[in-house]
Amino acid sequence: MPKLDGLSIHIALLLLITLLARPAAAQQASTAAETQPNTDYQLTLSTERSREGYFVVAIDQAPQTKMVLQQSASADFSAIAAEFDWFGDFTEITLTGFSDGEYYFRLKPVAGVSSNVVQLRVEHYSQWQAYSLFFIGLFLFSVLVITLITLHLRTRRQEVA
Amino acid sequence: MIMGLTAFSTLVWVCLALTACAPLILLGLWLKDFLSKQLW
Amino acid sequence: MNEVSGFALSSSLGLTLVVLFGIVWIAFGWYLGRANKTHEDFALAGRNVGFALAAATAMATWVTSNTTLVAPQLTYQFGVWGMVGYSFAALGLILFAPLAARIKRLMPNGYTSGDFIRLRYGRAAWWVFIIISVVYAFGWLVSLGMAGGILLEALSGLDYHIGMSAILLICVGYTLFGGLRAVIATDFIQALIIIVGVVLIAWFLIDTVSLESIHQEVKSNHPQLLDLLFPAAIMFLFNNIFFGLGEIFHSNVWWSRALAFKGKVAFKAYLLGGLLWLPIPIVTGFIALAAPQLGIFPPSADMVGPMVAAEVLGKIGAVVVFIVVFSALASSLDSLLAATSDLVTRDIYHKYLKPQASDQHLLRFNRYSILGLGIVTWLFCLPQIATLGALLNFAGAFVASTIFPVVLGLYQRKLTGTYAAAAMALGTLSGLVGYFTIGFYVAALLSCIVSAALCGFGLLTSQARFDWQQLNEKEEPTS
Repeated sequence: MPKLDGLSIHIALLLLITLLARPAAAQQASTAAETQPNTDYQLTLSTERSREGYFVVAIDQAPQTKMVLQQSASADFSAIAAEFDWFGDFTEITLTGFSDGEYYFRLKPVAGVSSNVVQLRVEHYSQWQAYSLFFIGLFLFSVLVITLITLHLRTRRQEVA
Repeated sequence: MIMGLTAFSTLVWVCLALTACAPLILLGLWLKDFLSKQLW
Repeated sequence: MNEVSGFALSSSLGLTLVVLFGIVWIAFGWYLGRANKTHEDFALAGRNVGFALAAATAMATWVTSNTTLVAPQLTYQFGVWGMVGYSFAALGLILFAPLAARIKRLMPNGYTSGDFIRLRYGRAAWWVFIIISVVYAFGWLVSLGMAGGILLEALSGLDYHIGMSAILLICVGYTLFGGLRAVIATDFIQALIIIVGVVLIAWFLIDTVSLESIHQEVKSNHPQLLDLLFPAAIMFLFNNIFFGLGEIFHSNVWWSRALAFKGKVAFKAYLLGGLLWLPIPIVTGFIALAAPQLGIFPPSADMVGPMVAAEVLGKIGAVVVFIVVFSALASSLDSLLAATSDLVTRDIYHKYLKPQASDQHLLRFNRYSILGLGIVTWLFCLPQIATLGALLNFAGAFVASTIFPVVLGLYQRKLTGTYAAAAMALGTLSGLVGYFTIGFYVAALLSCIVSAALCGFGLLTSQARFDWQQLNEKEEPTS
């Protein structure tokens, strides 16, 4: 399954099929987590460097128990900046609204759950890049609207005359 | 530049109100067309 | 969905809703189709659609799965600018209003957007245009069919193939019986359902989690989403607008409506349709901002809307989401089926393969092509190919190249077919190059810039003066 973020709704919808296309029973989180052997999850990121402040964190297998994703500014997780409840038995979680900076993620180490630590850098596009594209768009849009209105009014006058 | 609460709630409320008016406008127009036999 | 205990609806309830929808729509289509005597009746609803139905169909068709699924997605990703930027797609409808009036006046006997390109710019431009149209129409058709299957599966666990086949069968069914008349009449009802459903969901959400708490949570933990200077969101803004403009300006979905509307209705209808549509993406979008507050972090961003709705409203929410999204899908799918089959019947069959075909023959062929399109779409949807679904993703590069050739073609005598063809072809190519080398947020923009530059150059160097009368093609008397 290709992993595309951004506007790729259709691929995302396809993901949705695979994620949801299992019997209801499969979505029941196991309650017997404590008795199970430790599961080591492999975390991966959709990108190492997010330019938009959103990204997808994926695990390599369906969660066996209720899990929490932890976020920290340092690799040793000395201070936990935020925690996100993992939703259902999905193998992905999309996080959004991050400012510039380095972020580390891992699954909260509890009985039966451990994972690797992944690192992500959020680096938004520079203001000049954003504004230059914005003003190019604005210019082109103005040209279009002015052309349309001028031509429409001129044609109307000709038709009336 | 963070959008403030006032601006945010105004935006949402105004849009919600406008959207809620839409069915009334459409039904009103339909009734007008229907009564004057201008539907089709 | 919150309790990870399976699906929001039971399979039998999902299936019942689908069957109920199917019976009602198809019966309605059959009822409306009884009056269709000629091909013109079938394809263009007798060219006499009144203001109310016209405005509703313009609005409803533009409310696709995009408005109900992508508006929340973009809000989740780009914050406030995501939903505001998405609502600017209404500009497509609003700016099409003068064009629609002009189209109706120039081509009182026209059938399709392909007709216009062929008569105005000749064969070469027509070929480029048809390729763009077909790529776009099929990408959209297939994605709508797939979305239907996915929706049903997501909400009720019903097999993907059942949902996908059901929505195609229903839409093909009533379009086949009723033609454009059925499409427009069902659009009116679907528009009402969509708006009421969306307002209900938003209202309950505000009632449950106040706007204050949503704002507070986002401000402290995801401040970027409220940032009005969010770079990626600013970059994406105009690209999205040009994508929307390109979709509407070129597609026969909108042209055939302009031609079907009564007399002077076209201008008013598109204007009102656009204004009614404008606030909807904000209403569907802002609910995504409640996700962090509710502790919902979706697996993929496009699921955030339905997930929040189901969380807040529970089972009723799931039923409302189902009905709203199903209506949104159907109102676009039927329009696309009708408009694309018109394009096939009129542009390819009648004007290219069988110029001598009689009116009854065309009416029959139009029905066959709806059926054919339905079957081909079904076949494409069957294996759920990702690459085809991704078609729409870079469709912006294709459609944005048609904006200037269409606008100038309608108002300017000087632009020639060679330049129009080059503008569309090179615009599309540069848009695609931009998409793959720079990013999705430049595809439509780049395509439109190149196309506009070529058109401008064409205007400056041209000595041609197109005779508008050539657009008013008289129909050959048919037996």
